[in-house]
Amino acid sequence: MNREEVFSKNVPCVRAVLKGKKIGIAGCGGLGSNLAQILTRMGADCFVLADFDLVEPSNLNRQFFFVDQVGRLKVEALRENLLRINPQVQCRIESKKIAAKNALDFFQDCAVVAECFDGAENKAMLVEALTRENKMVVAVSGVAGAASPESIKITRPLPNLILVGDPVAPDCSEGLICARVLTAAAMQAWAILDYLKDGTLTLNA
Amino acid sequence: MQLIINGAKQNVSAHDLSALFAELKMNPQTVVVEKNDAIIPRGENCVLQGGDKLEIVRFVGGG
Repeated sequence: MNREEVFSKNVPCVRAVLKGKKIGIAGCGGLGSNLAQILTRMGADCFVLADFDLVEPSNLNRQFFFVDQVGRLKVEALRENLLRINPQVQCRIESKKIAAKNALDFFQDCAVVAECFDGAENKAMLVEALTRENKMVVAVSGVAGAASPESIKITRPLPNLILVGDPVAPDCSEGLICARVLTAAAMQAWAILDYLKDGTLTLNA
Repeated sequence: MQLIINGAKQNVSAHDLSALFAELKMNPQTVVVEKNDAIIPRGENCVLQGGDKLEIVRFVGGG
């Protein structure tokens, strides 16, 4: 197989933008595992994957893992899955818990960090810790529940924060629908591409 | 006093950030706040003055 053929249907220049750029993925669950998959298919090949959790059966309704990976560290299983798409992908994996005081240590060398946590408090913790240190973060908010994914928007509320979020999401929604979570992950991938292209964000006015 | 919160003028009675969170019924643990272009560290209170520009980014869970 000619490896270059893998990317031959990409929009020209997409792979050139992503190739060699180190992208931090903070949390490798519903958002992070799918985001890493999408970015890899787009041509990204350098990741820091951070998550302390193991793959559980309840993850398989939306996360990019498989039955035979249940019980394994998510970061190891995800690296394996990304390598099955592109054997050239380089991943540094981190299975320690991320806290405010050590967050920058994980992602110091990343061009951009994707916030892919589950809980609202952890999301705010990471965004505050990294944006304060001038690290660019692409975060997600409000993807639980059954609302239409059409309500999810991309905004740039702070100079160092691009937010993929549903502004009308209620504080507490039960359950997660794969279609809604993966829509957010795909929008996050697009926002990362758009940011890495030239440091700006092309938003539809 | 009047603040500019997320780009809109808003009259509030709070004079510091923690009172503002209470007034707006916000959980300070789930927001990131920028005041006059500087991020306010989590857990820190700060005095508010009329005309301050606040950007309050609220996070909702799921992922």
